[in-house]
Amino acid sequence: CFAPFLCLRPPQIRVKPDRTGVVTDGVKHSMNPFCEIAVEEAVKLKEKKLVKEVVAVSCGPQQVQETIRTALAMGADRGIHVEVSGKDYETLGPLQVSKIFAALAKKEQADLIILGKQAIDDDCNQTGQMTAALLDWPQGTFASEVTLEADKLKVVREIDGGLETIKIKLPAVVTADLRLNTPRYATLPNIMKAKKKKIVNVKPADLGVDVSSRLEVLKVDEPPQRQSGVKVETVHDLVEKLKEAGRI
Amino acid sequence: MIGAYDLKFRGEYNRHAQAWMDSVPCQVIGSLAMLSTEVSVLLLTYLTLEKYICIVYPFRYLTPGRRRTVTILVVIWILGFVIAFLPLVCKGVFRNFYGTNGVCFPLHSEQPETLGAQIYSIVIFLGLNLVAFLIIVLSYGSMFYNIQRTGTQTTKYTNHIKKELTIAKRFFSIVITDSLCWIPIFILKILSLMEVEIPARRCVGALKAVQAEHVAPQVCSTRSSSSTLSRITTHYSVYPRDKDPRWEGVEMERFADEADVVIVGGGPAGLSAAIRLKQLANQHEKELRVCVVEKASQIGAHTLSGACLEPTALSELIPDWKERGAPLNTPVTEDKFSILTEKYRIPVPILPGLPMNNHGNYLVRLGHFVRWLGEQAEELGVELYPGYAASEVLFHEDGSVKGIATNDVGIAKDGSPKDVFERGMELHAKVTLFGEGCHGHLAKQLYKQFNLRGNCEPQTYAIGLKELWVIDEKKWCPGRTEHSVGWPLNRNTYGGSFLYHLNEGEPLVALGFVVGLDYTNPYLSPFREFQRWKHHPSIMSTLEGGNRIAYGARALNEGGFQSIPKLTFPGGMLIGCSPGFMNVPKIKGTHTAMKSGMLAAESAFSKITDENLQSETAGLYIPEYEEAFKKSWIWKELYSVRNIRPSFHNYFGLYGGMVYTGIFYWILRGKEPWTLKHNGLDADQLKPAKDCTPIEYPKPDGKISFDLLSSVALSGTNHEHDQPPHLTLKDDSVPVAQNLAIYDGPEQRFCPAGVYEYVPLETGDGMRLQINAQNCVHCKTCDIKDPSQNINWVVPEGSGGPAYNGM
Repeated sequence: CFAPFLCLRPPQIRVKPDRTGVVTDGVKHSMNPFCEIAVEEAVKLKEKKLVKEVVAVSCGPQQVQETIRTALAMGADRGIHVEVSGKDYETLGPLQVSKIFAALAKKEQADLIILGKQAIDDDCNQTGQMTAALLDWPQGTFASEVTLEADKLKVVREIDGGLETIKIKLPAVVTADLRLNTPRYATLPNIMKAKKKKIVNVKPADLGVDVSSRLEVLKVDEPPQRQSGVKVETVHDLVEKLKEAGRI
Repeated sequence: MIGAYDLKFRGEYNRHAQAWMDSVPCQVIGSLAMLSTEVSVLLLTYLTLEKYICIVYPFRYLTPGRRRTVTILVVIWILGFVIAFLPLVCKGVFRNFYGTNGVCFPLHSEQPETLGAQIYSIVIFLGLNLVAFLIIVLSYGSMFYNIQRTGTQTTKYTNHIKKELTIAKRFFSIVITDSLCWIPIFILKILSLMEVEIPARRCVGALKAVQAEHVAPQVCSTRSSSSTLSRITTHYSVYPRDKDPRWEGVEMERFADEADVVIVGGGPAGLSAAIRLKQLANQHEKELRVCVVEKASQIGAHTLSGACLEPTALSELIPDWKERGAPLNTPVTEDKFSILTEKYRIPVPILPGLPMNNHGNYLVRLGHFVRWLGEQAEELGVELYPGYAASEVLFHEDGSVKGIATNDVGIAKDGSPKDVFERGMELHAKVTLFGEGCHGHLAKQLYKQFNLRGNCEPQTYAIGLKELWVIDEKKWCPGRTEHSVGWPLNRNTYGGSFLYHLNEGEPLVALGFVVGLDYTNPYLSPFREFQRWKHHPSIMSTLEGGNRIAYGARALNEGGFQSIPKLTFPGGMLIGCSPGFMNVPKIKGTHTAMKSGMLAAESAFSKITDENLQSETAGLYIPEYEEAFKKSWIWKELYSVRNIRPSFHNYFGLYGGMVYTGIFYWILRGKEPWTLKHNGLDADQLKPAKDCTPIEYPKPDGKISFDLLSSVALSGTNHEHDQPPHLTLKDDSVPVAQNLAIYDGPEQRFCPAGVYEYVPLETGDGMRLQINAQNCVHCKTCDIKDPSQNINWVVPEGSGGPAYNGM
């Protein structure tokens, strides 16, 4: 079993002066909440003795090792850090990450890849689907319940207006939705133990993956400032104001 | 008996409340109180009736038979016993009839436990006692009418009636007392029946009944509690979990680990101590396990300071800091000090030798500096655990400190365990260093436990608020420091501002405002003073066209030399701003904090590694630290400036203080033979709101000045929402009854993060306190300044709190 995840940037964000992205220097990187759920699900499967090993994977600069450490403290057995830094990290998108995951899945001979359904920084919601496509594996996205039945996987999916239950063959890709589980805490004793677990460092080139991006960010803008409102006394005043503003 | 238990539980009653109310003594006290109350009520009624008959129908029943009296008395006592002990006998119907409030009096003004208990309580208090009360009042009224009438007519039996009259008078005083005692109870009872919220949790009913004749003492101290108010505080430090049925069967065993030294707090002091310890260990080729726990999610994320750093201690600790890339990027090149009036700026020359002189110092983002210190520590083999807060001090059986326990996680807002609940971890050590920063919550316990503040003055504090701005490049002069005093504060409010031009790759300035927490006007808002100050022409010109990128606040120590507590105790030491080594006129404490950590490390190292050491206590006691501290330059430095801060306590305030500093510091270098005193606790300084003028603050313009909530958002602060508020109240009723009633809710204004809010009750009458604990930036101001000292700041779930990036 295989639980890759992305790193998350915190809410206190500021657009870079050249408007190519947001400032990330010195801000804390923590695990994406959906990826935490994915890790928890993988660890649960291991605790039920349904899988042999849980490998936590993350792509990014040196700091993501801390995040992998958290996954190890939650119960993953070992970590793989795919080092992507500098310019490559800035343009790292779902397609590049999927290529890395697909290559790693083949190399590690993984039977199941569990990912978060989307990262909460760019909200792309593509990596799981792309990884399944690149591997030509079945996929169970937006999972709110996962049951392993021999070589099949029953996945309850959250869809518009209800739930859909599907059965897919292993190996497969699953993306975790919010209600799949409540992730456990990485406790201090487990963090201490996690320090002894192994994290292997690999480069995309070692996996034969080209991480150059075909997308160009034109600009990133801060959301417009909300204008302060006014209080009106009567309905008449309200109508007047709306007329003034040309809304009615 | 209640008095005795009150003495026992004083100051920590809430912790024992549930246990006490369930205990046998409480039941016994309750039933005894009930017995004496009911017997005295019945006796009073009987005596009253007898006198009444005697006076109104004097001829018919002149001398009641002895036997009849005895019978009636016996009946009354039996009735009293039955009423009082029935609830104890029939536990099934009444459950915990007596233990519904702290004084064990079964008034049941709150939600009753069972219907039976409720009915019983109503029958007694509104049935029996109200009837008795009415009988007494009516009888006396009638007696008086009769006495007045007969007194003018009759000559016969005059003597007898006279005698009766004196007794009647004496009894009349009883009736007055009786009504004073009972009317509030009847009103409370009726109100609670009508489900009206009773505002004061403790009815100040310490009315002692007058002991008359042979009537049993009638105690009617109705410390009735009304829990119709929902609990504000749900934290286990106030409501212990071992008596809580929701916690039954939850595994509370903790994993424990052993280190040589455990350090609480990864700030300048803690990390300097850790680095020094490992340096010494490596130098002497010794094995030494040093663990640092830090409540912030990463090292430096809770650090906030100006900051203008004096590199003395750093050069002693890491002489090659430049080569190691310490983020000291901005040497001070220009020093400005001024007094502000509303429109003008009066420059004050900074003479060499004045503490405000900053030549040779560096302007830094202290959070980044601390993060760098953390990297140095890790490189030396220190174990850093950010995101894990020390929530408890652990003790050996001999009373010495054993170590600390980290906080539990996974507790819901109502105080119950969640499915993901995990117990904290115990870290044991030979010696534990407490470097929690200003007003640490563990240090607060240690002061009491070891009486560390017995020989020093109370600590005094200030609150510092800070913002980071990216300004117009043309106005940016890296290395310039500006300090001011005066406007917008009046001359008797201690405080001032700083504005530093940082050289960090972009046109960045750090600016902030400090207000002494000994201010007296409850209407003062440090946050809004800060916002107002930015509109001063000399400041606004720098900020115009700029962008605010960060905000934060933190309390700081101002007590200095006079307020330094005892620093060592068996098993532990206090370092850094926790005991408080801030040089106030210099507005610097990082160098002294670092040095104190280093001194503690040096003193501890020789003891820990001494193989022949015979320690008297299980936790090492290291008085050598205190001795080394007294010989160090921190001591000299703090001694020489000791009188500057208290010299501002004079009629002329700021100006008197400046004159004093000019004469005694600049000329005598603090060698004057006297030491001035501070004014006492900051919490005691507020005046009642009615004696103060509200301060009109201008509305924020959204360009230079901002509202509170958009500011708090820039601190990046966040806490898991579903956890008990970590701002705990010793008593939930005090905020409305005291802070709001007398001081107009000052916590709404001194909190720089909008944690405290008084909002109207849902029922529409009165107010309640709302605690938005997730906004807290861990500045500790509320714990310091709360006039009723009812707020206790404890650590939230680890990694909660602000996410400062180099503040």
